[in-house]
Amino acid sequence: MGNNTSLQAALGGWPPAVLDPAGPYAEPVTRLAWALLLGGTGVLLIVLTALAVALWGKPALRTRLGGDRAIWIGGVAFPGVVLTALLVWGLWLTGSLQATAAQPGEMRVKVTGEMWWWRVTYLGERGEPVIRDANELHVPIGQPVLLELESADVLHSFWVPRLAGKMDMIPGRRNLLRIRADRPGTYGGQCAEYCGGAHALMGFVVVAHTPESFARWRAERLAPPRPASGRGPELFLASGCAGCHTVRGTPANGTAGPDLTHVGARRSLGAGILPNNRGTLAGWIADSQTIKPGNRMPNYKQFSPDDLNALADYMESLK
Amino acid sequence: MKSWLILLGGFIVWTVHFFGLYLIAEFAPSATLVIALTILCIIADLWLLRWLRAMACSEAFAQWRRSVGMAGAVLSLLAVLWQGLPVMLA
Amino acid sequence: MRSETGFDPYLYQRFPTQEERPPEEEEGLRRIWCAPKGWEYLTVVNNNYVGIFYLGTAFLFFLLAGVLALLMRVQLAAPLMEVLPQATYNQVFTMHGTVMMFLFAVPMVEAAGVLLLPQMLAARDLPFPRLSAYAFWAYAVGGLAFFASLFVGLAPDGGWFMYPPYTSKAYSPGINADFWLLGIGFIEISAIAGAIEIIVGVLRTRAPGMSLDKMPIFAWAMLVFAVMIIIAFPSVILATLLLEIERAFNWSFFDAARGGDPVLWQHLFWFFGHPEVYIIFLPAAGMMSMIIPTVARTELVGYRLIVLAMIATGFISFGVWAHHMFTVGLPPMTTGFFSAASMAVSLPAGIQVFSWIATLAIGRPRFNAPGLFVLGSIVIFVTGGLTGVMVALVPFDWQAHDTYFIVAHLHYVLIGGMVFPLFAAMYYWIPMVSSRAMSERLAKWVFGLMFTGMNVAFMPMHLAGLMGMPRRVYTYLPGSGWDMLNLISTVGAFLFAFGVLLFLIDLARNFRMAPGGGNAGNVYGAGSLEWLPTELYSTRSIPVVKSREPLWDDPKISDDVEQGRYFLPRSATGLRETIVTSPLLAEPQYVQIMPGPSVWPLVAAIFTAFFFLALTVQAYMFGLASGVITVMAMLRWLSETDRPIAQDEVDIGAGIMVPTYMTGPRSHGWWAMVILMIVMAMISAMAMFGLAFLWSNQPGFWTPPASLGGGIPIALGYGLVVAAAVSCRWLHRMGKNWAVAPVLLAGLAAPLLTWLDIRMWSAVLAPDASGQGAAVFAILSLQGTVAAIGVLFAAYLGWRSLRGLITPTGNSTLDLACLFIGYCGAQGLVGTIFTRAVGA
Repeated sequence: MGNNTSLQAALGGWPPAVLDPAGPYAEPVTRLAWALLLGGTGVLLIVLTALAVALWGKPALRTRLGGDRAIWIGGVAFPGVVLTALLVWGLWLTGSLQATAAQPGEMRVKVTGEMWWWRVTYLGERGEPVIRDANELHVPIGQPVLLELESADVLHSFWVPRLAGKMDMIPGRRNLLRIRADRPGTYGGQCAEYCGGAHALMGFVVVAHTPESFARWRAERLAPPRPASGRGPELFLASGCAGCHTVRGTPANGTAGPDLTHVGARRSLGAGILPNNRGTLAGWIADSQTIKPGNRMPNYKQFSPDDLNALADYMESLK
Repeated sequence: MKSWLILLGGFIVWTVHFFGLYLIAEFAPSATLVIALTILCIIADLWLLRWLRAMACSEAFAQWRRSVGMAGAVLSLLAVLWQGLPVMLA
Repeated sequence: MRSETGFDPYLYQRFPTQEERPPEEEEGLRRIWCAPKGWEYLTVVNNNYVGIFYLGTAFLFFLLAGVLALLMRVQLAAPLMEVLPQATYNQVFTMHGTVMMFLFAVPMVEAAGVLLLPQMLAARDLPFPRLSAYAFWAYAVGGLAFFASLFVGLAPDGGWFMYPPYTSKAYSPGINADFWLLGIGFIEISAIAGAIEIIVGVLRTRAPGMSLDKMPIFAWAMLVFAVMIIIAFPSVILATLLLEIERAFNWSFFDAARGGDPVLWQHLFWFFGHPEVYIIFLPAAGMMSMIIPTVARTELVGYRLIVLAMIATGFISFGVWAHHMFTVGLPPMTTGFFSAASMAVSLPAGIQVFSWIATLAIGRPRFNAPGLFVLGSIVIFVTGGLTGVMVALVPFDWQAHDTYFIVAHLHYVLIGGMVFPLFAAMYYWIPMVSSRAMSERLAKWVFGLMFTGMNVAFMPMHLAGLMGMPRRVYTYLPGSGWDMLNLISTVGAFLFAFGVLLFLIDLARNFRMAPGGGNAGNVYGAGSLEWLPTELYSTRSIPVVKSREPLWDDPKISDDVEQGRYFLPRSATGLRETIVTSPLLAEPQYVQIMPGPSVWPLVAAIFTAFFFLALTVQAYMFGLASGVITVMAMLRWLSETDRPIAQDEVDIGAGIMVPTYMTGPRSHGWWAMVILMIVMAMISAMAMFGLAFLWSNQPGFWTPPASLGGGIPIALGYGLVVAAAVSCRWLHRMGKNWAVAPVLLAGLAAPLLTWLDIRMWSAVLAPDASGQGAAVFAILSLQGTVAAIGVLFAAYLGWRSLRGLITPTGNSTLDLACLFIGYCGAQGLVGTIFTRAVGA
């Protein structure tokens, strides 16, 4: 699998994502995490030492360990001091990382969790939708982006560990999460709140661009759609695809499924589970239920291999 | 009744404080209320400690009861202080 | 020492008595407490039997849920495995969590209480033996049926936390979710029945002289445990009721589009769910604190601090529920003090761990089977506690929440805090109930495999979580970097399982039930009362307790007890009986007559389970019939109790006379009823919280409530019900026999008031119109249910009154009916006003 064609390469492996932050909304948490992991190990060693002394230590040491005083020191005083310090650190950090309302001119994106994919809507100054996309988020580096997290059905949780902690998506509520990527790259994530069926296969990527590259990407998305013709578009419109999917510039305007206007440009397919190429596109159309059981798109086994190829070609051309 | 009050006193104060904070945060968010409640509960814990310290106990059970009560008040005091911290820091 | 009840402690010095006891006394005890034969095993109520059945069933569920865990580990051993299909996996992980929490952990420790407490307190049995039997059978029948749903693919798949809206009708249309909601329903009933039993047992049936500061630490743990159940379980009972009503009748408690709120479920669930962890941990910690002194051959260091720690845990664990909700988007002030309380709750755990270490330090510890498991428990539990402190910090939890880091954390806490102590306890107490002890040699292997397996399985999960692996995933993709870690975890899980398998082999070889004496005895040399020589009637006589380890401090005590030189060396009335003592200092107050074996608890339990299962599969007529049979069976069982006794007073040894009957606030029945009222009040309070919560979170959906003025006559009516209940109890004690009549009237009037209130609200709101409507009608429905039970009470009271069973001195039934009907009125009064006040 190519390096940045699919989510898992972007998420997985060494170093652990939580310990490898890529922006200021994750980095302080990583510092805290290291302090906790090292401090926790230290405390564990202290307790184990105390236990070893209790079992095998010199009588004098054991006597000193065997009284109310030791319990007060080990069980109350020591944790009391350590935990007070940690609590102050934690509270201060909570306050400083808590997302506040949008700043003027700040980039805002609405991400809606759906079973089992992500609807991404880039918002304008007044909150109006500007660009519609799915399953990936493009951001410029070095710039905070405010995410407005909502849910269309059940609970989901938005989590891109290298950029920020997670935040739940709850019907009837709008939660805010701010992210900022400091280096160009692809940052993976996955739904973290159990949402039934294919919860395990609900991935997501954030693609961080240099300012120039981001401007280019944005211009492409805002450009009027190119007309398309041929077997693929015809099949798309005739076979019911348009009932759920939108391809701007064509009569296809369904909204139940992901917007496919730029599906060919996406890093991955099926919400971050497959690389995006002609083969996987054709496979997904014919048999998405095997690839991602329970997802809301039916299998289209009726297509002949030629039809599938034509459709996949069309999809791939939608850059 | 008095025995239970001594044994549980600190934690009754804790309960008042914690659920007071929760109700304030859920239904009437106000830092002033939180601080007032925290100070009241700290005073209650300190008063409890003083009362128990001064209590004359000759019998084994009464002494035991008092020492559990005092330790409870100390823990309660620590917990109340911690729970007051978020608002004090903000 | 001053007295609590007017009993003169000087009388204790008459024991041990010197004169010979007549031999027919022991014969009498044997005859009255005789062992069951054949089918009678089904109707047995004695704790020696019910306790073992209960433990065995709970352990069976441990094994079953463990098998589910192994299945999951196989599926996750490599990416994209196809051992368990997605839908099956989701059912399996839901059942693993649910069964471990509801069918193994809570019943297991409750069963341990049923088995051990009477022995430790030197009581003949728990105060309500039939209630124990009922709790056990309801749990066993219902639990097995619930588990079987897995084999037909109807098991719930919403996670053990069952978050709506995924579990609502719209997203879970099948009856799978109903299996969970109703299946857990009767397990909750069973848990509460057990908790009532344990609270009254610990506070009222201790051996004379066993004041609170001399009580075995396990009894303290069970006391706090049971009180926590009483406070925590009502919340989940209410939550499951509401969700089931939403699914069945479309009332919108949790549907945000209609003024409900899915977050309300999370509050209600975790208000139960987090204390639940401590509900499981505390009894296990109590076992640790019993075993460690024996292992170290010294007394427990810091007894009073451990008691304090247990009480502290009991309180503070109710202030940490929202740490499961740090990513919900709560305001920072709220997450702040929940974070603080989560820190605070770690202090009592620290106190206990250091007390155990201190005890080991001053003692001469042995590395026998219980010893190894307690040491393993300390190491594992401390590790889990430290990761617990980490996730108590909100920013770290934002990353760790709902990942495998949490899976690792919770298994360290629960396996270290509950499973290892439980294995230590099984090795430690099996000699008390079996004629052979377990194999020490095999135990080393069992421990080695379980300890290694546990760490190999769960340590890598910390890292998998930090690498971004979320929980509850049925598979993962290749190239995610999680493959190796998951494979290691799977290997560890199987090591652990092999340890458990070895334990089972040992159990099959050595466990031979010996409830009526002839057990292996005090092989570890413990000092507490459960190691006195016992038969089915428990100890021959009930000793005066002067210290925490009577067997260590008084070498003659076993012999004196066996020779009948202490309290109650015979059956004074010719019936099953035990001494009821005062709650603080355990001074003898009266002799309680205990019910014997009966088929009715069994019938009631089976039909309770049928009732819930029938509702699940929507066989409503069968459900109704089962419900009616249940109520009839309970009334039948009840009708045999509270009978006149020939002797008013009996000699319980050394010429000390106590009554055989007690009414009012000193009686054990009164205590149980008050606890039941607390349960109902908690359910009602939670429902009112729900209404207020929806008002504060969904104000856009609020309509003006029914008028307060219209509610005042209803409230006054409820006030009259309370007044009638209170005053008539008093008048009856004064000798006015007619005073039963107004209580009956009050009991019958309460449902009419509820009906009036429902009529008034129906004009304003519909229950399926909005969250407000749903919540208001939920409160009214609860009131209706309580009022209906009140009618049953009134009918039963009337029946007894006509039979002449209510006398000025023998009026416990009247007492309890007055309490219940009075409570019913009070709840109605508060509800009538509260529903009208919210959002007025």
